[in-house]
Amino acid sequence: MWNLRRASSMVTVLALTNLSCTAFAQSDPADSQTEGTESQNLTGVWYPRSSTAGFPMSQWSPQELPFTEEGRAAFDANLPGKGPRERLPALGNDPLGTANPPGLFRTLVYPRPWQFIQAPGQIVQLFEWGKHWRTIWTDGREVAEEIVSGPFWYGYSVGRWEGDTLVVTTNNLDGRQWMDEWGTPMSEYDATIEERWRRVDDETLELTITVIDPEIYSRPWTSAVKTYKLQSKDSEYGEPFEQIFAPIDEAVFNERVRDPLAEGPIPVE
Amino acid sequence: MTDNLRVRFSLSMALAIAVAAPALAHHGTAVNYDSSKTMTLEGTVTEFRWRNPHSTLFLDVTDESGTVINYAIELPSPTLMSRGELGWTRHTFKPGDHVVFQVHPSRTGAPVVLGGCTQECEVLINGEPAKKEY
Repeated sequence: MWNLRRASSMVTVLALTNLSCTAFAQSDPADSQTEGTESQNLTGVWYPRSSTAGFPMSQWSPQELPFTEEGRAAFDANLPGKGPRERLPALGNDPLGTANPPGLFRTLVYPRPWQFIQAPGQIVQLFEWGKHWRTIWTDGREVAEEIVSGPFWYGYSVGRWEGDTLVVTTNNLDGRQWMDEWGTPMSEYDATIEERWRRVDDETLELTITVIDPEIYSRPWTSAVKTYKLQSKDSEYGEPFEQIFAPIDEAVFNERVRDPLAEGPIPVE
Repeated sequence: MTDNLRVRFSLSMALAIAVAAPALAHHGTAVNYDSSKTMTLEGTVTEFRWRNPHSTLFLDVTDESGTVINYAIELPSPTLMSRGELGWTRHTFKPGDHVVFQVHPSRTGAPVVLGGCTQECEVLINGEPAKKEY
């Protein structure tokens, strides 16, 4: 359990011994670009607890999204099985339904646990959903330009601390992913998404994202606050397992469950 | 005396192992089903797939005319089911088991249904409540 007294004693130890931290201790304030604070510790297993009730278009925003003409076309072309535009999945085109990776931002709004592990110069985020991971580089490197081996379903992320807020810039995203379950689009190569992570108390992490993607959105837009709760080791979601959508399993599921659901005698639009 | 004890024990087990709605309702394909309706499916297991993206129990069900239809009962992923109160594993259902399962029908009338119901419900395997194995 993270608390002020324990955090204070750890800061004292770090100051006296100048130890660099292990993966399971607080991040070393010396690695951040600002003076370290006691709240720069995101370590743990987290589970989302946010509502999208009343959101009109995207699981990320209570507002209508500022689409460009091309963005609106991309949104209309994405046919989800959930949300305000839901239809029978067999009649949709969700890339998840053919075993493609969910991608970073869809995973951040999906109800599965994930884990932050902090180490010097990097924070690794491990996702149960899809058994994927990403690294947020906090070693002072510049935000990436185009990375030749990309684009990446989980992007390329560089972070810096602004006080107790971890500001992450993620780009080099493979835009074939949906940003959420409802088919929120991004451009194929050029989205830049700024994440702001803040641990507001022992048990609570908050995230907002700002999407900068001029091909799809006429202006940057900022999401609702997403909340994540710390999971204790013995809690229901305390240990991320593995949920992989293997093509072999998706094919069987689609053939025997998803597609027959759309083929019954009662017409459904 | 023994039979009475056995019946009382079965009933209490049924109440204790009643399937809680949330474990089977957190689901990615809810739009396919009519959750306002519940029906009871009874049949013989032909296959139990404990697999992603969603597990599936297949039952041969004989209708009133004597026609056998193979129904698919969609269930959550193994990860989700392992976290609920069910205590089921990939060994819980075996081919040949006689099963009674309350389900929600598909909106199209297809022989694919959603396991569980909006209230607590009971799953019987060979006449006994489905066992909680952990």
